[in-house]
Formats: sequence, C-alpha cells, structure tokens
Amino acid sequence: MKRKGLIFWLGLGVILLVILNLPSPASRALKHTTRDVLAPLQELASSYAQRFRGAGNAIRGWGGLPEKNQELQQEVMLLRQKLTELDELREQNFLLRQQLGFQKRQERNLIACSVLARDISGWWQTVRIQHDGSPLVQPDLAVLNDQGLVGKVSEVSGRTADILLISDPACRVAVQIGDKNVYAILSGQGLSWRGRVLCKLTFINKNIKVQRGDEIFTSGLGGVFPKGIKVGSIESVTLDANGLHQSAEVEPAVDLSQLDVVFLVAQKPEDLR
Amino acid sequence: MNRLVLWVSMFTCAMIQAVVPAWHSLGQAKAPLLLGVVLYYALSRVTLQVLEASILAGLLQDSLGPIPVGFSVLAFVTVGLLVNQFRDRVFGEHWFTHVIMGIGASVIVTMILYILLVGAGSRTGVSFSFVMSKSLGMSLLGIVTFPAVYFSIEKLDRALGNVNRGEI
Repeated sequence: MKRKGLIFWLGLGVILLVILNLPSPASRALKHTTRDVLAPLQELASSYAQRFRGAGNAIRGWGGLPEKNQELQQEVMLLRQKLTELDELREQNFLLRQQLGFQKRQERNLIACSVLARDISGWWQTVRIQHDGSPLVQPDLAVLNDQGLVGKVSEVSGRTADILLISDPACRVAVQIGDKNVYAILSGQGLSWRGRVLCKLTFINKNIKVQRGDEIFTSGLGGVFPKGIKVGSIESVTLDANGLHQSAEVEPAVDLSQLDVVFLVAQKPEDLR
Repeated sequence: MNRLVLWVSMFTCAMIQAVVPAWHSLGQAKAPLLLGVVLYYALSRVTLQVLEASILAGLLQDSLGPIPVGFSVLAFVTVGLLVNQFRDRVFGEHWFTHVIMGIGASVIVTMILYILLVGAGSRTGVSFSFVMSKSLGMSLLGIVTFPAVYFSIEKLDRALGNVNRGEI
C-alpha cells in the first residue's frame, strides 16, 4: 500500500515537472492550438456577452443599436486616422520645404478585429482578438480604436492574437506631451480600487510646464507605435521625491473596459520580407 | 459519460470565465469557475479523477492566458488533492462546505500563482496588497460561483446517470 502511494506521488511529480518544463515551442504550440480550436466557442460566448451588455445598456437608457454603433465607430476611426495623416503631412511638408530633403511617408493600413475575450486569470491586462489569419498580423503591432491607443499585439496564433493593453505595467509607450516637444515614457499602472485605469509618465524635465489637461500622443520613437496617436490626457502632476524630475498621472483616451472592435496598424508588406 | 461531463463543464466554464469582466476594485479578480469544477471533482470523486480534472483545468487556464504553461496546473493540482483529502470528513453536498472550501482554495491558488509568477519573473510590479485584494475578490466571487458550479455539474451528472441520489 505504502509502495503504491510512493509510486503515485512519484508519477505525479514527474508529470508536473514535465508540464512545468515544457520546451518553449511545445508550450507555444499547445497555447496556439487551444486558442485556435476554442476561438469559435469564444466568439459565440463573446457575442452572447455583447448582446447581454447591449441589452443592459438599452435598459439603462444610454444604449442603442450595437451594429450601427460599431459601424459609426469604424467610420470615426477612419476619419480620425485621415485627419492625423493630414496633420502629419502638413507638418512633414513644412519640414521638407525647410530641409530640402525628402522622406517618404509610411503608408499604413488598419485591420479591424473583434474582441473575443479578456485575460482568463486576471493577472494581466490583455484582450484576445480574432483575425482572419492574415500574415500582416504580427507581434508588436500597435492597436488603436476610434478614441486612441489601445495597446500592442503581444502574441499571435493562427486565428487569434493577444493585445497587451496600455494599462498593463509591462506595456511602455514612447509619448510626446501635446505640441511641447517634451518626450517621456508612459507605463501602465493597472487599475485603481475604483476600477480607473492608471498610467504614469515619468522623468519629465522639471523646468517644463506640464499641467492637467495636456494631451499625450505617441511620439513615434521606439518603432512600435506610429506617431500622432492620441494616448490620453494628464490628470495630475507631481515633483519626484528627489526634486529632479516631474511625474504625471495620465487618464487614457480609450475606455479599456468597453472594447468590442479594435484596429491593428499593419506594417507595409515590404516590411515583412 | 463521466469524461464527457468533465470536458463539457471545463470548456463551458473556461469560456464564461474568459468573457466575464474582472472585478477591478478587488485585484481584477475573475469569477473562479474553473476552480469551481476542480472543487466539484475534489469533493465528489476519487483521486485519479481529481488529478485529471485539475490538470485539464490548469492547462486550459494557462493556454487561454499569458500564464506560463504549468503554473495553474500546479496550483489546481495542489488545491484539488488537498480538498480531496477532506472529502470523507465533510458534508460534500452542503453549500456551506462549498463556500468554506472555495474561500480556502481561492486564497491558496492566488498565492501559489503569485509565488510562481513573481519567482519566474513573468509578472513584475505586482504588490502584495494587490494579491491580497485579489484573494479576497476571488473568495467573494467564489462564494457565489462554487455552489452554482457544483449544483450545475451535479445535476448534469445525475441527468446522464453518472451518479445516483445519495451517492455523492
């Protein structure tokens, strides 16, 4: 009897050790297969959840027609994108005239994806999206919606991708404060007790006047996030304990709790070669 | 049929757990539905079936999220075997048992995952107060979800003839 027990515990130990030490390709394959196989089920569950939320919104009086809303969101998104592009073009034109140089502007296209689910464990700030299997969907692509920056692609499987939200401490974004030519790094701070998304800007030069309400945009530095996407606005500014820099709390422009459709900023096909 | 119920309940609970929003004010706690299935098997079945349920639940949770494969498996197996030890000493069918076991299991699973995630460097910037509030949130959500999960699977088991009244 004692021997049987020993064999059981030894066997269990071996199984757990094998699972815990799965080689990286095997564990990635397991994750991707599970996600792809379960994607249709998740889509079904997600559509019911959306209907449930839509019904809740309608009851509360501020809901509407979800499909129309989604359509309008996409339209607003595209128009804002065009506007940003025009602004950038104007600025670029000015610089080109000044420098007598030429810099080809990157043409980016957006891939619309629906949100399937959120992180199942609650340890990360991620959402899972469904895509059409396009090779353009790759890790580290910027993700946005009609309100602003959502996050970046962290992992891609055949039909799904995980998006690391800007509220996650692991997500860092190179940003610019308004038109002040002040650059900083924005990092997620999770959620407050009241469920408010917190992001923080650190190491801002103490001699530059930064105030509540200043808007934050991606700076384009770092190579992941294209320039000019709205990230949020400054909520409060404090001087660091050592008195050398300023820090600021930022309220994201996007309501990260209400994500139904997001857009991936795809790279140019020639970038993939 | 036993295995069918196990797989159906696992996948259903995993789908719901992934879609249901987290409780932000309490450490982003998610309704611990997969843990509920593990507890059901721990309170009503023999050790081998508990292991099967724990490993499947862990693999599902790890595969559907950014947690490294095996972390949730270890947490669920530990809790499953621990609760299974007390199976003969408690009223397994009583809702109060589910509540008490659920609170304990939620806290243990959260702590094991915290130690593993921080120890392996997979998650940084997580404070201990966040983990405490997450444990509390999971326990509170567990108070509601564990009895519901237990009675739902039990009903399914009875309907399919896997168990008879008074057997559990």
